[in-house]
Amino acid sequence: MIAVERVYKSFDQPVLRGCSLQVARGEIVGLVGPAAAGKSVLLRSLAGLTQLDAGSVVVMGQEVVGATAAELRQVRTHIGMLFQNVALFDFMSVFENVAFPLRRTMRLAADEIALRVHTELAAVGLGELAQRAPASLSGGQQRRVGLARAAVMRPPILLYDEPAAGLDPVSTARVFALIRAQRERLGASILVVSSDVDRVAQAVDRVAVMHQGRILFEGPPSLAQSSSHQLVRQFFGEHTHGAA
Amino acid sequence: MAPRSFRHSIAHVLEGIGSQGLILAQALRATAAGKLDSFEFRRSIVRLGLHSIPVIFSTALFVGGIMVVQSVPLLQRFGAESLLGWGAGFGILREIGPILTGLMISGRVGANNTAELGTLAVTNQIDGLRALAIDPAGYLMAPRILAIVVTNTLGTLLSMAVALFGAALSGLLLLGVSPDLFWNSLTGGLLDIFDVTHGLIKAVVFGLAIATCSTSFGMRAEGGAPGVGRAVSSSVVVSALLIFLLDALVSFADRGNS
Repeated sequence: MIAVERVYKSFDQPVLRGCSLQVARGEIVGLVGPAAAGKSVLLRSLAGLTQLDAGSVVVMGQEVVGATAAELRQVRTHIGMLFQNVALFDFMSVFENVAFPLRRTMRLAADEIALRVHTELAAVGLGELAQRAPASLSGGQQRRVGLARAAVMRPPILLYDEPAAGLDPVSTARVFALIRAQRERLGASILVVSSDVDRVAQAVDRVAVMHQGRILFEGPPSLAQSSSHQLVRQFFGEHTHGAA
Repeated sequence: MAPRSFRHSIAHVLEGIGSQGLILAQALRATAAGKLDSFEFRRSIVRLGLHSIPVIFSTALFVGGIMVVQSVPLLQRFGAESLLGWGAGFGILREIGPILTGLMISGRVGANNTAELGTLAVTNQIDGLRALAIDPAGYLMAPRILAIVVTNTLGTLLSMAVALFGAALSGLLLLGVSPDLFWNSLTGGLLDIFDVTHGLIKAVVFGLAIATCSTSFGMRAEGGAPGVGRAVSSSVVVSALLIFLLDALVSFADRGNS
């Protein structure tokens, strides 16, 4: 579904230094690592929102690096995305936010749109808040609206950037439970960037640990603590001890 | 060798010009491809255009009247009260109408446009559109650019008419020039349709400058709320400079019709 091969990106300094990553169909992969490791840049580059300097990103068989604007739009029809700051459209209601991609890109009847929007909002437990403005919702509720909007087109790939950032433990657990439920319901491949190592380790099939623009470890979370790389062991060890 | 700050400023200006050209090209391409969002265009016309009518009306009325107040001593000294309509018409149709409206639209509509787009940009909402496979050129840029050009052009026409009314009213009250005499002086042959088209050409050009400038600064805003503030400030200043620069260029290019 997603194949990242030796990608490089520099702004003022190198951010990605030869990253490679695979996400298979129906798989949930957690991308973890310390701050400024390049996780969000890598995630954005999968949707063509950040132009890479070198390397290859293939999404659903389509090359993203060097793609034209039209080709990128085509790639993005396969992707649902949640940004770190959620990026809900603040000039629309919750319902309109979730309905927006359906209205813009699919020729559906109003009834069908309403049904799909209410289904997605009910799935994230926000059916009652459809007419509210995003600004009137709590952080956790906004993130759940973001999850609903990302999934409403039923894309085969979901990219989530810090879906539980700033949330309390209960809300965090709920968000990760919703992500797993989306995988079961949609069969989607999901890549989750998160700093919450403990929660990610419980929710994903595989984990990739990033540091200074490189993937240091890629595999099941249970094997991370026995990684040959000291930083990976420390990262997982410290967090799992912290959770215990 | 030029100092680094000077070269940096030149590079910044060239980047801005390039960005405006790119924004215009993307908007034109989206419009030509039929991707201009008609709902957003109508919404922009109402929000940006209709709501600008009161400010255009009131400023034009006062400026038309003030023009006459300032010229009263001169007209009375030379006994040229009968030329009041021509004098007011010449100034309003060719210069005051387009420039006044351009500056008002820049300050109100352009600033609003930059602030809205800037807020969308710094909160990732524009990337959110892209991630949903929605082209911001057709959804955000083209409707706003077209709405601002239409608003500025129609606003200039309104401004011309209201300013002339203000001048006629002022002439009647201060100089005793009857509306008939004012009208005859305005339409007596010293002015023609080219004076109106000259003003309208400026209105379209100014509208395009305001629209691309405000859209460009908004789309490139970064750095949170302070970044949006800087973008709005730059947009208003650069738009005003562009209006005066383009005014000089159009006046020079069209000097044969004056």
